[in-house]
Amino acid sequence: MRGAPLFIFEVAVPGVLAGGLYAIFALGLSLSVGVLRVINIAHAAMLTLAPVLAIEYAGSSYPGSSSIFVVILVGVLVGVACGLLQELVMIRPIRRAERLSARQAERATLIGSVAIWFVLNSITIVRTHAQVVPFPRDVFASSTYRWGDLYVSRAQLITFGTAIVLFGALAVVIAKTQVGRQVRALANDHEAAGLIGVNVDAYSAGCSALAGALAGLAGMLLAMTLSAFDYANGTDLLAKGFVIVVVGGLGSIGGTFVVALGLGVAEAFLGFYFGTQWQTMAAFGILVLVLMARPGGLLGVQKVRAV
Amino acid sequence: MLDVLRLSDVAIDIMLINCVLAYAASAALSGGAFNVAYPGFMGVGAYSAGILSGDHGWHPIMATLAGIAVALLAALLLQVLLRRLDGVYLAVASVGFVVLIGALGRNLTSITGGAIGLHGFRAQLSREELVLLVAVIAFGFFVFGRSRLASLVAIRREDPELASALGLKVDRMGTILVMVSAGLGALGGSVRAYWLGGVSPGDYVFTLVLTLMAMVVVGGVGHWSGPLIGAAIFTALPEWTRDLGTWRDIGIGAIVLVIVRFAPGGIAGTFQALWARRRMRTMARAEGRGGGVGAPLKPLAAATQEAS
Repeated sequence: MRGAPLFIFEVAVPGVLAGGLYAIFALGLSLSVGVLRVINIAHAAMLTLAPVLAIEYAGSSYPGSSSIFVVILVGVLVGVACGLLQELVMIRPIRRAERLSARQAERATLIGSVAIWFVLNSITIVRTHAQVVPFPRDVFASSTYRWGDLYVSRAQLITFGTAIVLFGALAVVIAKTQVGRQVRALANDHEAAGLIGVNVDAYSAGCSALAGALAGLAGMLLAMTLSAFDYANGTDLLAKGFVIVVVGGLGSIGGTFVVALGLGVAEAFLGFYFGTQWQTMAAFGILVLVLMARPGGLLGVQKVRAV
Repeated sequence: MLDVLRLSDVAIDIMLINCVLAYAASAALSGGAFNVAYPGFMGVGAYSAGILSGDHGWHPIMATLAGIAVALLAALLLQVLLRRLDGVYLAVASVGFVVLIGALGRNLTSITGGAIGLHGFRAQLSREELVLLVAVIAFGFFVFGRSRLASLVAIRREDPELASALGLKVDRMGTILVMVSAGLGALGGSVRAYWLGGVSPGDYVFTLVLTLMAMVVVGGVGHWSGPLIGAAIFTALPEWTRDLGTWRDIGIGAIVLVIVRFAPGGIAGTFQALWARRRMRTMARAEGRGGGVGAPLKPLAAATQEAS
């Protein structure tokens, strides 16, 4: 007979660890939505493309292809490249197009990101032939730790540690530094930020690249955890990522982190009691309840625009 | 007859069905709010067809009407729940409805057939019937597009603050648009399910939100011909570029990007703007030769059209 506290522990810990991955993915999405004002569908495609190309690199004879650090770096760089590409071909031209109203710009960036999602996704399908690609064992083999009935893999612990470091670093940078202040100005109002001397183009490119890097990193960590990668992983995560960003409140770093872990735990318990097939739906159930009570997200600013 | 188009019969049928689906998406998006629940309504229509016709032997027309009724009820309920949301919040919450329908389809195995779905209830409309259906819907949108209400909807889409400042009943307008979207969505889903003779939970998912949205935007949001143009392009392009293999999707994505960047009004909106500009020029020339009293009013109307 297992003790009740121990059993809760066995369900909750994997939930929290899964939440770590959600957090990294959602952090990039939050940058896109909160700072760049792009409802970024392509974020999911970046998450998929990065591990696909990195695993291909690991299987090649290029320098460093047997080092897990180099392979992860390749994945992150793929994300950065995608982010910069998105800024250059889509976000910047739409920001500069003066004929567009705010509404039209919002719509244009959304559809633009769908187009980029289309492009990146088809590259993924071309490279993988829509098959599951295994993560090479000689590059990274995740070992599992066991306490009682609780199994935790090394990849999960690495993911969670990375999430804590990333969120801590970003929270400090945004709150304390000059760069962070300029990013906040940008998030508040693109035009006004430009008027007070923020280099909007540079900061927008930087944020887009960082968001891409986070998508790439999340993809690499997910591939390491699963020891394989399926190109369908992205879309599933995208829906959850948006739930986290919206419930956490747009642009709230702490909110994103807390809600990501909360979603991981909630899913673990719901999966335990009702079966895993209801997990995603439960996430949306929680979302609708939260939004009905607080239409601006749980921890977000309740913005009211004057007419 | 249509050999010049180099499209197979199947592709033409699919194109016509896609037109119906695109009109459902267009109705929801023309109000400006990102209520993207339409694949969920299509799922409701498709499952009603499968459950009522396949398992209980209902006549397709009765089953389709029942599906539309269920979708309208669901839309009303959804509207009550999501009434206060806007922008990205509404988009994400309404995707929840799509996920809900998918999850119900997958998990209520005894009714919906689970992951396999329901099959074997084919009842295809003929080509003429499909054309008639699309023509009726397109005509409805055409007539609506000429009404005063349509310009109010356009104001709501492009500038919601102005709309409420003008005292427009923004909420009620949104509800009506979502109901139209739900009805058309259920109709289209049902027609598609009967045409395929099957429905499975993978048919009406998140990806369909994106594909239909891309169709509507490329065609032109808020213009009656937008969904027709979008559905035609998105069905024909993959057919024409079949030889390019999987790389063709990259090209399609690039085309969408170019249109979004250079023609925010979509193809229909761009032609309308060009047409308006040409008319303005002819009028200016006429004015130079003496002009008419009503002349100053016309450019204003043209300018508003261009702005939308």
